[in-house]
Amino acid sequence: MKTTDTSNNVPANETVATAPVRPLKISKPGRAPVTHNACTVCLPLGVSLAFRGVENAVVVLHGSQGCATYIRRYLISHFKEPVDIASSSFTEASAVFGGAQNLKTAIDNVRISYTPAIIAVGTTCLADTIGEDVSMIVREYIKEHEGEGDLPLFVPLPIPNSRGTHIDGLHQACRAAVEYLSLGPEDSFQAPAELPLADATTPVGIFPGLVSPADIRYLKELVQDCGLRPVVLPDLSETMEGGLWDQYEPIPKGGTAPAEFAALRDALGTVEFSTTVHKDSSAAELLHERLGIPLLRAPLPVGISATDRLIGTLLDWSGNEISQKHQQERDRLIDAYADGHKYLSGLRVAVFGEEDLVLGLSGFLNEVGMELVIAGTGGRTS
Amino acid sequence: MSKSDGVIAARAGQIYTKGNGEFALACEKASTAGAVSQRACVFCGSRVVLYPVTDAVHVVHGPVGCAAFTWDIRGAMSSGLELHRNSFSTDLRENEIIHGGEPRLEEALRHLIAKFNPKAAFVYATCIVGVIGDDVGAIAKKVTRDTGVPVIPVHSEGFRGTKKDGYRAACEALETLIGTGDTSDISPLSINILGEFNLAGEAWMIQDYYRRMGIEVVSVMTGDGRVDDIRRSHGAALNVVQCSGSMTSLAKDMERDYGIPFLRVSYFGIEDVSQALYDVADFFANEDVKRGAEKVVREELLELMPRMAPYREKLQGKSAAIYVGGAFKAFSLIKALRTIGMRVALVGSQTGNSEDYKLLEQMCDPGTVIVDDSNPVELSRFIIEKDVDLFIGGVKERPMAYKLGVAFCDHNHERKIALAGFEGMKNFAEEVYRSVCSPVWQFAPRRAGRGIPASGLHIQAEA
Repeated sequence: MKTTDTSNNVPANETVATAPVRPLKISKPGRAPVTHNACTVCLPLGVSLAFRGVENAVVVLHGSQGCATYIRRYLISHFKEPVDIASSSFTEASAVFGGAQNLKTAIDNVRISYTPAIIAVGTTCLADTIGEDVSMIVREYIKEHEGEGDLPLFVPLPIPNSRGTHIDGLHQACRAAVEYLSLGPEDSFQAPAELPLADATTPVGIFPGLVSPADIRYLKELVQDCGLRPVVLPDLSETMEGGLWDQYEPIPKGGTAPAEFAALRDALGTVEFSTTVHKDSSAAELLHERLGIPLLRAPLPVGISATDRLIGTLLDWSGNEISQKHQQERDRLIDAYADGHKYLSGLRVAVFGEEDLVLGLSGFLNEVGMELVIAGTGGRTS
Repeated sequence: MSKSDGVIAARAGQIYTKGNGEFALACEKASTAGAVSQRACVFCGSRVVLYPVTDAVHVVHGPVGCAAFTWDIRGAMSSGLELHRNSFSTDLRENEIIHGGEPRLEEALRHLIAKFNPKAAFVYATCIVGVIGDDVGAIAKKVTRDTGVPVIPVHSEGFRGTKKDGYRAACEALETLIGTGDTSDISPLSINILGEFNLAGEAWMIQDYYRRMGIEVVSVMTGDGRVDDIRRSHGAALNVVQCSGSMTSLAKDMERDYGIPFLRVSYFGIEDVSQALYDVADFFANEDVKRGAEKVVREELLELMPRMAPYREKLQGKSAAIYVGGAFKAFSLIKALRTIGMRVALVGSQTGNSEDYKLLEQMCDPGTVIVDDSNPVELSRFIIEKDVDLFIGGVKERPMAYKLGVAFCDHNHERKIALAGFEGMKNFAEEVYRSVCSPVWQFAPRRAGRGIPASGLHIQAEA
């Protein structure tokens, strides 16, 4: 079954299934003299969010205290869930002489307060600019603490903030998580997660990008209903939308587990909802390159055509038939299209958002006869 | 590395329980790395203080994140222009980090000044600007000279201290405007209101009290702020400073430079707002003003007190935790909570100084925990230990309280409910009541468990 390689059949711009009514004028990515009300935030936010979807992980951002706090505030405000992100809390002295010691202290203190299984170490503008190498500092830390039984796994994330937005951070952090926790890094200073798979069902990797916890729960259900075992990264389904607690949980339950990272090595295929993120930033591409795992890279599945692609691929991989439940849901959606098409026909629409969300929504708008007149993203991918 | 109960050794001195030995609390320190401090940075301090100046453009010179995270996040209202609610950023990227961001800043300023014709432009320096060495001052001078619009650099590089240093930088920025306006028609019975940010229209309520006392308010810094008012604020007879952490340095400088004395006040709670009005009246030693203050307090209390009684009855004996930015707000909150019959079991702040904490310690009951620059792990532990009924804090503390089944009152920059003044006290009591006495907490697992209770109904098998 592993022979289905769809990677070559997926052109990056396949989103818009049929030609738009009026051809869109594509403006070259350029820069206004000033950025006004940007709908993007910075790369470390994506990095931090990605590791909120990894089980028992804590993020340490190497930089000023404000970076961690602002990202926390932003995520807390949006998700209405606690989000703890540690900082190496630069001072003026760290900015001048380097912040390695601060980062090591931060790791020590995170281990005391949170006892995490994984510590992801991200960087910020300030640390990048003064040339801090978080990979090297982490390697030093591991060496200095060799033999300690409770030493967590580390994922260093030396991703320059100036190169992308939050969405690039999210994808690149997922790739790094796969590299460190599923495959083991090439300069292997720590072994990847090695745990037997509890569930015998064949795993499929899902890299959904930035979607809601409810979307993730739906995706898991869908993959299960296709007869496969979903491994979602990041899995925000519980960590960013959980119940009340009976006691304090320093790290909320849920997230992609070590056994799931291990299972990715045996994945039948992977699905990544992004056609815009560069190959070098893609977790699916990494698994494809290293282990030859087939992949489907597609925009966010919004609407019939894009969802058909997703479900069709999953069913091809599993050899199963579509379940009654999903067939009926598809039937009802087409019925709703028919009922509503006259209200929607010809309406002119502007869409703004992350690149792959815009592509996904555009495909849907096109399906129902709406006219996309402006599509904008704050993204920097081409 | 030593482990004990998840408490970081370096933090031990910043936690004190009243009655446990002699009072001592370490404070005014840089945050402990890895402690997940609730503090932000220097930039944040400057940004929150200057944000409500409505007719200036606020340009964040730095990466897009710093601007996006501070875009329209305060409840500071405007009676006119709303330029302050925009997020303008030079959005520095690799190219500028290598070659310098000065040309981009200059272009941004010229563009914004041409487009919006603002009364002033504040330029906030962020971490990387401090590191790549852009000369923000030189660009500001050049653009000011060419356009006639004052461009004011704010030295708010994130790593240069704490939020408090950001307040100081913001005050210094305001000082470049103060003293440049015409003061000829200002009444001798006049004040500036400092450290009031017009959240949910609070500055308007307070201005109204002063107006009723016959006092002219020359400027509010910075709630519903106007550049021209700030320019002539040196013509006021008195500075009345709330939120002392952010604006005392400005009041001191204005005393030094213009001989304007200042008073520290708070507008939160009946006691404090009444005291504020009386103190200002006493300063002017004018019988009409004194009678005016008495009349305002009498009228407002007559209106307020009957409306408070039902809340007080319901809230009597409940306990609260307070964790806020500045300690000054904590003093008022302790008193306001007592007004509605509640006691305080935990109190802390991000940026209090040793005098603040001494005063806090005197105000608190034995057994109360006092914390400086705390974090989620500590705060949650105390919420459970003290089994509080209410938490008063900001956005970052809210989900922590809710997860543990504890009521919450938002008392930070982002709130949409006026909590200052007499009307604010009514709102505060109502807000606390609505949360503390909400029926939703009956289902909270910490008190009720997680399982579905057995129904008690059994299907009888036929005999």
